[in-house]
Amino acid sequence: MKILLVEDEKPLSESIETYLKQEGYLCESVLDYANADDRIVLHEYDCVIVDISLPDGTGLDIIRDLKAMESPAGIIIISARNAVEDKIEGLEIGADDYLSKPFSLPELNARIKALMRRRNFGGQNEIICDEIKIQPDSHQAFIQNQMIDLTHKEFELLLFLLSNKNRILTKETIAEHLWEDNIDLTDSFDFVYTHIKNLRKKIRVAGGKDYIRTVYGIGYKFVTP
Amino acid sequence: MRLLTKTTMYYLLSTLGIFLLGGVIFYLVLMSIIDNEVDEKLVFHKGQILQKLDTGNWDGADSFFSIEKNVHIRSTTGNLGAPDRIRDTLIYDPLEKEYMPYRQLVTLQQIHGKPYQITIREPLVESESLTEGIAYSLIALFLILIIVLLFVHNRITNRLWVPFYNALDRLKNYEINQPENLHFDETNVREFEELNRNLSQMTSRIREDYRNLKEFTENVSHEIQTPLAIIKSKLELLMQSEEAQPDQMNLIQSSYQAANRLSKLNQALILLAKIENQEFPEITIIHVNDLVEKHLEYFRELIDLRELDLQINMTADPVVSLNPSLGDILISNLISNAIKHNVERGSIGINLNEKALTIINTGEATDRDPSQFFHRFTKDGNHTDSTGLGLSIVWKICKLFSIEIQYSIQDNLHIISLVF
Repeated sequence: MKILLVEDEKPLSESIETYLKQEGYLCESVLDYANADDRIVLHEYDCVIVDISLPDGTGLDIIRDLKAMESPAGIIIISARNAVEDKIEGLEIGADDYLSKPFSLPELNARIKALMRRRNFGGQNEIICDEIKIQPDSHQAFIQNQMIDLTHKEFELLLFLLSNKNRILTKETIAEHLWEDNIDLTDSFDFVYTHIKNLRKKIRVAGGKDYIRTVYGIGYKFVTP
Repeated sequence: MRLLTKTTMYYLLSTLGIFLLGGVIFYLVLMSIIDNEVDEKLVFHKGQILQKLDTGNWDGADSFFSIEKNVHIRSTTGNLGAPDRIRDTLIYDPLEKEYMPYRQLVTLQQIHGKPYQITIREPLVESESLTEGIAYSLIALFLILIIVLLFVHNRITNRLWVPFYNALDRLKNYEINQPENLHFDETNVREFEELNRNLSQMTSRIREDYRNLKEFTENVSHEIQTPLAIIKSKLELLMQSEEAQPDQMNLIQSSYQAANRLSKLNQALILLAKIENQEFPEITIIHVNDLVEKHLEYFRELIDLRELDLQINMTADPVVSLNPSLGDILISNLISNAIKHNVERGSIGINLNEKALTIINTGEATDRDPSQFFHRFTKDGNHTDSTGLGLSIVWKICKLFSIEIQYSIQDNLHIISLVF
């Protein structure tokens, strides 16, 4: 899977590139509008991640160019401005998702995966990992083909863990994924803990293995054999 | 007390002093003029009498007689060379039954070879009635003066001081973040003119400083986002590396948490600045009921997880004009606040009627003034990881849309009301 990253801050760009490459994506990065424009004409990407403010233009123009070329690429905006108008305009002209900086890399990864699932399988998709099977559209999860009853948040959590399997996910990242801006809630870490505990129990009761490891003081890791 | 009333008071007080002094002087001068007049009259009278006595044909007169009223002549043995004496005296008046003041001239004269003492008297005006007369006229004058001064005072306040009170009014209503400069009416009074000019200059200077400072803060806030994003991403990568030891992981985690906190803080500050700059122009009619329901749905899970008892009592569905994003932030902040600052197995009450939305939550009793929590960075000691900006944002939003907000604490109940 090919991803183009358009981000003018080199250190940030490098981080994202590293993380995505570790995830097994083919990731190319450019630092400005001119180079981005060249690339999208020459190559076809599955996903384009664009920063709105670029030194020589705006990321919104890249989205317009992509749409003008009827590119099938999924588009995710990353912006430091967190301006509602940018978000609305970006989504209106055809971007698929919007993330405001600073965001966490697992979050970006989860968004890319969700976007790719929506694009590639036209909604008919399943995620299979070892003995676990997930149907994101119907919000159903199965262990060895036996459905487990998960709450909405538990399902979201499982999906997020699976999207970033074998990665350490901090409590903050998980809480932010589940509750977005309301991470400010002091007790959100307890809530994360409660959800993880319940999820583990439900998987175990259904006869599954214990995939979730606690990384003491930091967070959790979904380990696949 | 008004400045003009005060000056008028001082004027009146000094005028009163001057009037008193003037009265005394007036009295003395009048008295001496009258005395002089009477003295002259006495001397003239003496001449007349002497002439009468010289030409008069009287011989072997009594040793004491009177040739006309107020003139008494009696024989004497006194020294004829002595000068005339003029002095005041009191003579009993049997008619009025009191002593009346007189001026009398005593002269020694030789008439037909015999020495006589002639006493001539002239009645004087009673000093009492003179004093009374002067006092009455002065009091009358003083009263007239007061009336005139009050009248003038009123006129001055109503006309002359208008520019001053206008300027005062403008200052009272002045807000440092209002878009236009402070303007004052033209006036031809030099002091006011100067005052207005200086006020104009001062406010525009303050405004400029404020704008610069705000711009600086906003720039810092915006520019800080990117480095923060870099720090966070690098720490995340570091966390994933296989070689990290547990103690190193702890260091990474601490840094990561600090970066996160900084980022939250920063976002809240940017939001505050945006609200202040009125960057949320869109206003729609919002049903408070729907808004609260929507956010309760969102928070219900957190409420359950904390085992809080939620009591909802919504009897009406008032509408308010609000920016939709800010409306969301407002209600979301209030509910999350009620959850965050709650106690184990506490409760949250949400009451909505036609006039007000009241959110009551159990919490820790505090003797701090609750309105302090609307200030930036005022927070409960226990919650070091909260930004301390949530209620400031709430307050700013309420202020922007003229919603009255009240915060009170009764024992362990924290009560926040929004009055529409």
